Amino acid sequence: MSDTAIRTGYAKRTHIRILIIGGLLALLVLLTGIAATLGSYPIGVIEVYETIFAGPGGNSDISTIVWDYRLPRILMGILAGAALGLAGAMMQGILRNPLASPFTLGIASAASFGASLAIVLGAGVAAGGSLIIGNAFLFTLIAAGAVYGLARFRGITPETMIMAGIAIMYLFSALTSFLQYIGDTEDVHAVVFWMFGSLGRSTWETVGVVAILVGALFPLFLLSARSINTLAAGDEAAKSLGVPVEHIRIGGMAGASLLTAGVICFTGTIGFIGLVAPHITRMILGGDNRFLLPGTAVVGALVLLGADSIGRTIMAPQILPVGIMTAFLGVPFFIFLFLSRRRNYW
Amino acid sequence: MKRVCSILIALILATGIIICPVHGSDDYSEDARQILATGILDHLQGGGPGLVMLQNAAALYPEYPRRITDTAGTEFTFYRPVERVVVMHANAAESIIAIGGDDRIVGVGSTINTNTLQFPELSQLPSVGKWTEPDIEAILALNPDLIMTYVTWPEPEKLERHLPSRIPVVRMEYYKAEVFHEEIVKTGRIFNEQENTNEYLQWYDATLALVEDRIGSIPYNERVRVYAESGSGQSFGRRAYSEGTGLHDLLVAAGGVNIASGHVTGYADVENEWIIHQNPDVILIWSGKAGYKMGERDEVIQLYEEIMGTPGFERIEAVKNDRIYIVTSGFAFGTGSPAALVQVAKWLYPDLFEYINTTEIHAEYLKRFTRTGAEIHEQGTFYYPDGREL
Repeated sequence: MSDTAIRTGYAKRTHIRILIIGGLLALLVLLTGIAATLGSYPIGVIEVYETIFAGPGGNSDISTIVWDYRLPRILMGILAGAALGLAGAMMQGILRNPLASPFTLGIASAASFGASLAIVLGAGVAAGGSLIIGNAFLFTLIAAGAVYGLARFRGITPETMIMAGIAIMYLFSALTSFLQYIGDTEDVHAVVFWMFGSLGRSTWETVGVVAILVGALFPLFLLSARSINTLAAGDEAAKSLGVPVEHIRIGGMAGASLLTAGVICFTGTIGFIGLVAPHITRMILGGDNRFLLPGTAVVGALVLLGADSIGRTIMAPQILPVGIMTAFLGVPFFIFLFLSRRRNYW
Repeated sequence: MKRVCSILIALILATGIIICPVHGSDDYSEDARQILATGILDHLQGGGPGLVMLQNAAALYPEYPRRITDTAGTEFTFYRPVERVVVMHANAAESIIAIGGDDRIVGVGSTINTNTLQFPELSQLPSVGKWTEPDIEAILALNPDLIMTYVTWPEPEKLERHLPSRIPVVRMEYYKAEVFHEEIVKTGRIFNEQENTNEYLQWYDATLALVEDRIGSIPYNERVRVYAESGSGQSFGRRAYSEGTGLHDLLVAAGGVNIASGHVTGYADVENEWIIHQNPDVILIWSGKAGYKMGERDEVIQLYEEIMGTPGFERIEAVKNDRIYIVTSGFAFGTGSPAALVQVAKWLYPDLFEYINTTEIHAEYLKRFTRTGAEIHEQGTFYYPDGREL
């Protein structure tokens, strides 16, 4: 095959990948438009859009519902899905391991423990969310630091980081179980609710925080996409090509941990997206991180927003926890893609 | 020779039981006669409960033996009054205190140990583990003649399976309205405390009648619409309570209509927008905080403030008219629940209960049927608003 043919083929594939990402984005916009019209207060589709275009601050039930509840929830679904997907893709890329995710590396377990600690021993059910959010965030960073510290002790390799992550996950899971054991019934309910994950507590303030995190880290992730691609060839090969392997690995883990912490401290544990969204995207777009990272963000947003929209309408007015719904929806789709692929996609 | 003596004694007892007229103090005497006669005849055939039990029962006849069927449907025969009882959960403990049987408790579940203000004496007794995870060795070390626990918890695999058959495990709830009265009657018979039981049940029935007499005739379409939840929405989502929960039973008994009926079974998370759409007249919140625990009043008040500050709720009738009420579990369920019922009914229909002093009713309950001290009587937060300063 001539050099020109290779270049043409590559340009064509790149073009197709961009088109697919564009298509996924269009699907996300469509889903967002539909999600805004769903809810247990009967509001007509046109009325919803009139309210959105009229802007916030209206003194009516409909204005409050659309601007204070539906829009923050939808935006949080998009941002949280994107952030968790990105965090998972980053971890899988830098550790060269398909099982890496915020959940399997102990980050989510640490957040659960932080929240449980605040619920059972600290703030209690009634004391508002600030202590719980702060504690979840703090313990997420502690877990990331512990994974890094343990791995550094034996040398920063994918294997040491994953082993350290698994150890941290078991430690924090056991600590959370212990808190549930000693907690009273009401506190245990609250812990379980937190661990299911929910977008129901979203406000413009929490959406703003997550938006800043995603906005700041996404470009940095994209900038490191080429280096992560090189890591796939192995640490030695990457080093010989001038890639600062340890810096990329530490920076990537820190960024992914921060992104995870910033989301799940507000939403509770939604562990599934971080593992599966990158795999779904990889099956569709391939393993090039320049496309995989933005694609994962969109797929993560689609899965989470879709799951939440169905979860709050299928048994309305009851809401099914979004953590459960993402697994109900995402796993069958993931298995379908997994079985329908002939070659090894990883 | 020993066997012959046993048979002779049994025959004499059986003859006496069968031919003697019964001068029992209640309707249970005939039951006692039949149980004892059957037991003696079984003993003669080599079975039955054993000679010692029969002798005990014969000495106490016609008060004993007595047969009890617990809420789980298991039948037990008591040949003598219980003397060493292990109580796994706080609902049972407060009921036993209410009927004056607590001096026979020798071991308690850990939730009773930690609840020192509600159970100043029982909390000092040896612990037998959590109500879901019993410590079998600790139970056996106390040599109990009865264990009392919930219908479902701990599972028989964790409790009965590890105990000798001579130790009965009576399973009763003491927090479900539909079986509560019956359970108290049975508890009175187990502890042989008829007089105290009658005294408590008179208070219980009279307080319930106080409510029923006033709200019984209100037509359904004129009843107050109530949204019931467990707060706090800001931290953990809005959790609505409906059929199958104690909070639902309480508000319905108080004359309210639960807006979640038909939409939710048990409890479930709901959206704020659904509550805005339903526009309830009253919001009733249940909290596991405060009650018999001091220093948690602020957490109860925060539940009220969270509702008041929820966007869009300012247009709900309940919030506009400041009709947000909180009951704690120490108040709403169990032996003190009639006091809670009157309080909730008064919140729903203030005009009908204008001259009923609900504070006094609850104070009377605490004084007569609990072992709580002045700290709880004077400073306990059992419901909110309760007329006290913040």
